Amino acid sequence: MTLPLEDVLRLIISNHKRTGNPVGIDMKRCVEWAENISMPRSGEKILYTSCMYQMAPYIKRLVEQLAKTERHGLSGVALKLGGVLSRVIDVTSIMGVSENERKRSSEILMNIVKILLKYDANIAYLYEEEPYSGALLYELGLEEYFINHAKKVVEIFRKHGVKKIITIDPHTHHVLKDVYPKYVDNFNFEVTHYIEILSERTDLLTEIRVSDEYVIHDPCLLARYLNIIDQPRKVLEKIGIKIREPSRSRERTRCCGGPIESISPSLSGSMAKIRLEELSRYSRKILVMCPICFISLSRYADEYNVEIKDLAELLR
Amino acid sequence: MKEVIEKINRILSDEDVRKQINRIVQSSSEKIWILLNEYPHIKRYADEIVKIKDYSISHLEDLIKTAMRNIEKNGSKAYFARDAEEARKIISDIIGSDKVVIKAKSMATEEIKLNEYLRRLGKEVWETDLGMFLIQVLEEEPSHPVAPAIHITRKEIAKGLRKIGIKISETSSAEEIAWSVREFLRKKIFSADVGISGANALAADTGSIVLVENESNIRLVTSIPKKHIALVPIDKIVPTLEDAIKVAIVQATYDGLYPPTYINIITGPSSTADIEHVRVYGAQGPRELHIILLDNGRLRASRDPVFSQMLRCVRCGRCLFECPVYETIGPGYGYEGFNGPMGVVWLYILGHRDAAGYLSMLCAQAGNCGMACPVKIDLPKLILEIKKEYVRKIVGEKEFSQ
Repeated sequence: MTLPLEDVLRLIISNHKRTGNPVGIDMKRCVEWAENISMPRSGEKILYTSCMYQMAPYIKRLVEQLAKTERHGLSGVALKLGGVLSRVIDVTSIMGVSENERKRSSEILMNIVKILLKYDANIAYLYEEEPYSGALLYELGLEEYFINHAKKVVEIFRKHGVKKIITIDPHTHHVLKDVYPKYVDNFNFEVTHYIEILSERTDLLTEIRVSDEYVIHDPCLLARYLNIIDQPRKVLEKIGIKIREPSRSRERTRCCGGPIESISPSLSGSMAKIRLEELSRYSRKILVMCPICFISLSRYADEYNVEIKDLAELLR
Repeated sequence: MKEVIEKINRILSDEDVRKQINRIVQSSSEKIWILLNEYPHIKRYADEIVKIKDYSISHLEDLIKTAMRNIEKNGSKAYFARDAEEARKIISDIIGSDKVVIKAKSMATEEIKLNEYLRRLGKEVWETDLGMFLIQVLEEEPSHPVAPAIHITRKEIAKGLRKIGIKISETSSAEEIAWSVREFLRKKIFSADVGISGANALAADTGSIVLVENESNIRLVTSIPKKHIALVPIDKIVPTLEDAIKVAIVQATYDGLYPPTYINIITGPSSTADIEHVRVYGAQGPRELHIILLDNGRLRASRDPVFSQMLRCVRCGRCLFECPVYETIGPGYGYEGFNGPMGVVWLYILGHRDAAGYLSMLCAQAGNCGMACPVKIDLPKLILEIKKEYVRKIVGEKEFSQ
């Protein structure tokens, strides 16, 4: 089944207009993880989460809701009434993300921050002022919204005196690195992915020791768009991970289905299963480096009896 | 869009078909990676094709003129069709009162919906490529430019063939099926008046067409009937015969069939000068060769700063084998025989904007197709452009300006 595209797009647009992010969560939730840390609130070099890991469990819920709607179908007549999709979606369920799910996101962020602060104690975090990057708007083809949003994001960066940006997920890294410069005048920020930093400074990882074996799932964006392929391997080897390479690995890596989870949850799910089937032949433990890959693959983790971990979860 | 959505849903709910598609797509993809390791020089050919095609795209109108002049020099007839309707009209005029038409696989004839049209005129039309023959008999649409029947199970094949009197059982082997179809088609082929083919490339300097194949059906279609008609989209024109052969080699490798069993070069109708050294047409091959150059939106595309690169496409279909969406639902990610990443962009160029737009929304921007393309077409970017235009249309300009 497929969802009514227009409705999905309108839902995302209205969420975005209302809250500044496509899922429609209160942006305050993006900073909950940082309650107990104090980083400078402005500075030349910032950690930029773009709320991606924080939003992940809510995205997962939203996709579950969309999948339910997709299964039951919406009649053509109902759709003409407009806004039906947003009415059938159970917002309370989306917002009712469990403590455990939120804890997972917080831990990922805390692990990254701890290492980054060893690398440079002056790294700032914009807290409540940190905006979402707009990556999904771009990926869904909502170009005008994306451009308007990107300009606002850059204004915020400039207001805080930002010059260097450290990203932690592939989607944000991709839009900042490849897309923003095309749409925003004088986009002169230095954008680095945290895995790039760690791969150059493996001395920061000497205290971390995880003796385990994982099959690696390269995110499409890191592998094919950004050529960040060897860097995570270097990090993983340093912390003692034995990496199993699937035959479709590195630049041949395959999609987790995530990017179209809001357009067709069932197609997205079938894609995830193909990838899981493949990865699970190599190991029961799958390593990802993207919050969207995590959500998408973990939807069926039980079915394939696999355990999925983000690289940052291992950096304890 | 109803058709598109229904097809997606049908395949999503049919696990057997999905498993078959998934298996074939993965093994085809793997085969091409292995071939490219085995014959690394072909990547160099592919790089050359990029330059050759880019030159051809920017000199398209000149090349059309040169090609038409040289086609006529060889004793063939050259035609220029602006759109599908003109092409169909030219073809039906050439066929005239002839009755039986046999065909080689050609996306161009699918594009102009030729079979449907000829049947309406009362002609008997037979596809001779085994995959396309199955598509015809089962009233399906091709799911891949080179491997059109990958979404059809053997059970369905047996059922369809029995309907037209070919005695096959569900347990028949692929060899038995191929042999029975061969016997069936032989009769049609030897009674045919007209053979219709496409071309992998057309050399402007000699007016030759180049066709690559493994089944040998193209050899029969282009030599047994008295008339041969080739429908050639103008983006297939390259400056020289050498270029054209390179295109055929690259196409064959990147669709997984290298070395190809046959490469046909056809320059003019069959002829002999063995009687008093006077050239006469119609020896053992066709007496007439008609080459129709098809525009259908391509000249316009050749001037488009973003989309002109699509005219480099050699129709190998490797992008389909690498696409994660196509790997999952095969022809569900397509419309009217145009499938996968290249299909989405071709649909757009050929004017099926809504179908292309809807399908573009299913693109995951995974980037495999762009990397796999032998001629470096930035397919993810082109599909994203189609997506942007479609989104603007369905969400509404007004909404956007707010």
